[in-house]
Amino acid sequence: MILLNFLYGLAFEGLGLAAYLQLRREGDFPLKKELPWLAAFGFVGGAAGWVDMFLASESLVEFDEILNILRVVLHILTGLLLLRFGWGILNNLNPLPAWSIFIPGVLIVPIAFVITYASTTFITPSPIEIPIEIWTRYLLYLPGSLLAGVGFLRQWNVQRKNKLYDVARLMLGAGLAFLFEAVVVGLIVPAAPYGPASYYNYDRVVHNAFVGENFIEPQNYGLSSWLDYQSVLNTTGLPIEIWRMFSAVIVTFFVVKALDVFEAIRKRQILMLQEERDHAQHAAIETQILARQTAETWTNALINISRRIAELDHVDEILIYIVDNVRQLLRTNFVGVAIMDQENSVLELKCYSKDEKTELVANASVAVTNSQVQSAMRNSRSYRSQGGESVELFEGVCFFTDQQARAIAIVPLRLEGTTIGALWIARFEEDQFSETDMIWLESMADQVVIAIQHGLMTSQLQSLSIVEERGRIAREMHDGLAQVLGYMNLQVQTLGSLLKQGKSEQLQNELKQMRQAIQVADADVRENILSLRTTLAQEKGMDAAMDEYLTEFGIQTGVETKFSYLVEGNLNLASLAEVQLVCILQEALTNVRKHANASCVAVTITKETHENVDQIHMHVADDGSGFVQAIFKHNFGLQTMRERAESVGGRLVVTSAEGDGTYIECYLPCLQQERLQKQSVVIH
Amino acid sequence: MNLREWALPVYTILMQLAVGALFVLWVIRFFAASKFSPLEIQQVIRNQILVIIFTAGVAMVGAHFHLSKPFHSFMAMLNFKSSWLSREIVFSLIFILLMIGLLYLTYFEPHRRKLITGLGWLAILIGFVLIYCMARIYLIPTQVAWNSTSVIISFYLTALTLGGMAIACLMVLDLKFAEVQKANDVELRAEVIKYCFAGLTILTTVMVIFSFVVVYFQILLLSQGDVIARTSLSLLVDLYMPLFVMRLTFLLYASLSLGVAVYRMYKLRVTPQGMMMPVYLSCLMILIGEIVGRFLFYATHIRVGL
Repeated sequence: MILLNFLYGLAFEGLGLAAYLQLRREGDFPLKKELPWLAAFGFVGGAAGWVDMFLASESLVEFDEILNILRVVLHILTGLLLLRFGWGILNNLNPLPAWSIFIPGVLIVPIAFVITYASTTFITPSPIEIPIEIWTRYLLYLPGSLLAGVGFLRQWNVQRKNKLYDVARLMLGAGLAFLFEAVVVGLIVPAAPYGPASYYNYDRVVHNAFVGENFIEPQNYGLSSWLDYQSVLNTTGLPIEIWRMFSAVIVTFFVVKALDVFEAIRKRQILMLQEERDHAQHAAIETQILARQTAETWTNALINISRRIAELDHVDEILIYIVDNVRQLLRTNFVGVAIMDQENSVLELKCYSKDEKTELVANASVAVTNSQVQSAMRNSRSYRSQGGESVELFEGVCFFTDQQARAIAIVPLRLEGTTIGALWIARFEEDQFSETDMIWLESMADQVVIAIQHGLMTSQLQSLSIVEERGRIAREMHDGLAQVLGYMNLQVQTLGSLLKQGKSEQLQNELKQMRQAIQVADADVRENILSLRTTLAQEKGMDAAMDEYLTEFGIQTGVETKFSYLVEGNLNLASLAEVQLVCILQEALTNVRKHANASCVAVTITKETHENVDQIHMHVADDGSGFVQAIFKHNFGLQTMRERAESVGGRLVVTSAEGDGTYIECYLPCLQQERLQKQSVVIH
Repeated sequence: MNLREWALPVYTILMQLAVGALFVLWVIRFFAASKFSPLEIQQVIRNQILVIIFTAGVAMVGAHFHLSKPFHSFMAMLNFKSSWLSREIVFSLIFILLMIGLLYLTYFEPHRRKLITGLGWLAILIGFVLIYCMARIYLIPTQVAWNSTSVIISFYLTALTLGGMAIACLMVLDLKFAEVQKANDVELRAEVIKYCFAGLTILTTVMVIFSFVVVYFQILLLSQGDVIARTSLSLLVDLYMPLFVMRLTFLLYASLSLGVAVYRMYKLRVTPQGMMMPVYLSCLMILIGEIVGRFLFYATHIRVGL
């Protein structure tokens, strides 16, 4: 018995020590909060077992009374700690369902009756240690072990659902171990003269003194005759202490193993968290790259649109470019641009894009009557479908297709405070547009408005150019052809007089002068025709146009011409600058023809870099008579050439001396295209 | 007392608790009608009615463990004219049937308020008659310790003490449940608790004081009685002294701790949700005190003659 009690105490001390050592480990695992209670339960339970050992050894007889009190205190404390641990395992690891709140309410009456009944047993003549031990076991050990057992079984269920089968098996083992302990530690008690402990065994084994007083024939209640120490010994051949020691060992085994597995799970979870973190970082980087690429794509598209606008491309071409980009960048099935008509009464579809095709609506007027588009126009507010809207709302949004829009986004086009139209996009699937999509769409709508604004300005500029050109032609006709014709008129009258007078020799001289005047007028007219044709015919390419012009000039004037075009590719000048370049060349050659009396003129076109800016350099040199610059400083033709160069950001340098020919150098800045091309990502 | 004899305290205590709880519930319902809408009150109290029926049912089932032939228990009703026991059983059954009707109306036809009110008061009346019959069973000349009107008074006091505490406990449990369920009437339940807990505490305290007074008169009566009476008294103050002290201590401590908890709720603004533990422990202690009192009631009687 001494050895048994020692081993029993040792098993519980082992449990306490194992729990304590686990408690000192770092990390957080499910049982950790309850470990202090388990450790305390193990230590105190072990101490109670060893007190039993001392009592059984009878080696400290003189301290028996103290030992008995200590034993009672330790047993009650052990029971309380087990109860607390069991409650923690049951409730704290996984919260109980809501209805469990009523369990205390339902149990309050049974608890009150059991406590009352237990209280009444203390007034029986049996020694007080017996009811104390019995009710400590019934009221503390039994519910404590049951709670812990059920708590571990709940954990078994939870871990099975989490597919942690190794942990689940240990939880099952721990749960069954605590249920076994509930029987051997909480339910089997010393024999006593009151139920549910056995009357029979009490009378027979423990305190015969009580039998004499009002002895009643023993009654057995159910299993009560099996639930005392003597019955267990008789039935199993082993004293209850062996079973209790056994239960302590298996509880220790399963709990310690479970704690180890929890530790392993914790490490596994840390690894999983690290992997998740790596995945998240990787995903974040990919997202950043994607976002950057998207931003670059959009930026390039916007830059290309801006460039086209700056190059004064036709507004229709710019619109097609914008709409095509919107369809591709926002992955939409349909894009439409509509502009209010001149009466500002009908919204007309101007340009659309669908099925990889983008085109203008040129032939017929297509009215856009969709209520959402109209509403966005009216309120001058962007609209984005959220999903779940009625399909009817999206009717009349997608043109030239049978498919129905399921998601749309609309942005009004506002020009100087007035809504002039709308840009909208649509998808045929329920894939709604995001806030970011709206931001991009609005920036594209801004580009549309800018393109339209530039189109209007270009149109006005062209009108001004035409007026200017007409003035120039009128001036040329006045200075040249009109004067010649006036002169011819006078000469014809002179010729008539000379013919009447019969002065044939003078008549011949006048006819000779008239012929020369007509030749000059003819050269002027032809040059003007050539100039007009060259200015208006740039589509063949600047180099070819200039070369052809110089060739024609040489044929008409008899002046030898040399043309050197030393630029790779096109000139990369703004459209207006190209026009001015041709006009300057024409003016220079006119001067050569009229004033220089030259036999040869050489024109050279090169590209240079000045202060990190590319520029086109046109050099016109003749071998004519030249002029004194001081005298011709304010020459009207030279002044016009200078103004033309400066109007497009360039400059003009004229060098001449009497008898040394004339050198005209024109510098015009290029567009920044090459640098931009290096940054751009080709969209197509 | 052996285990079979415990069926008697189970029956009497639980039945008195059921009647007292219904009475307290109906008083709350009556006074709360001025502050809350009738349907709100109905919603708050209907779970309590269910618990009262369950309690009365358990009491009836428990009583059968006292019988030698439980299946012949219905025959006890046959002597209604002459037997208080027979009347007790009949009124118990009527009480339970009325409660079932009340439960049906509160759950399925809550708009029939007058009928519900009337039926409730009728059930309370039947309950009080039942307690009277229960007490009259023990008023027999051969049982000196029992044969006094103090038994009748103490039974009513037990009913009201336990009823008040039971309703208080059920209200906080119900509130906690509604809170966990995230029900939309949590605020309402908390308001009702705040409204009626002061009254419940006063009721419990007053009933406990009355119980002490009744105990004092019982002891006085026994001390002035014959040898049998004095023998009963000696059992109470000698053998069962620890239990007697335990009972009085539990009742006193429970009513005081309940008072402190309710004071904290009103003055220190502790939420009604925080009342669960003190109310539950007070209820448990008062229940134990009353059961111990019933044990002493049975344990101290000595019969005169054979």
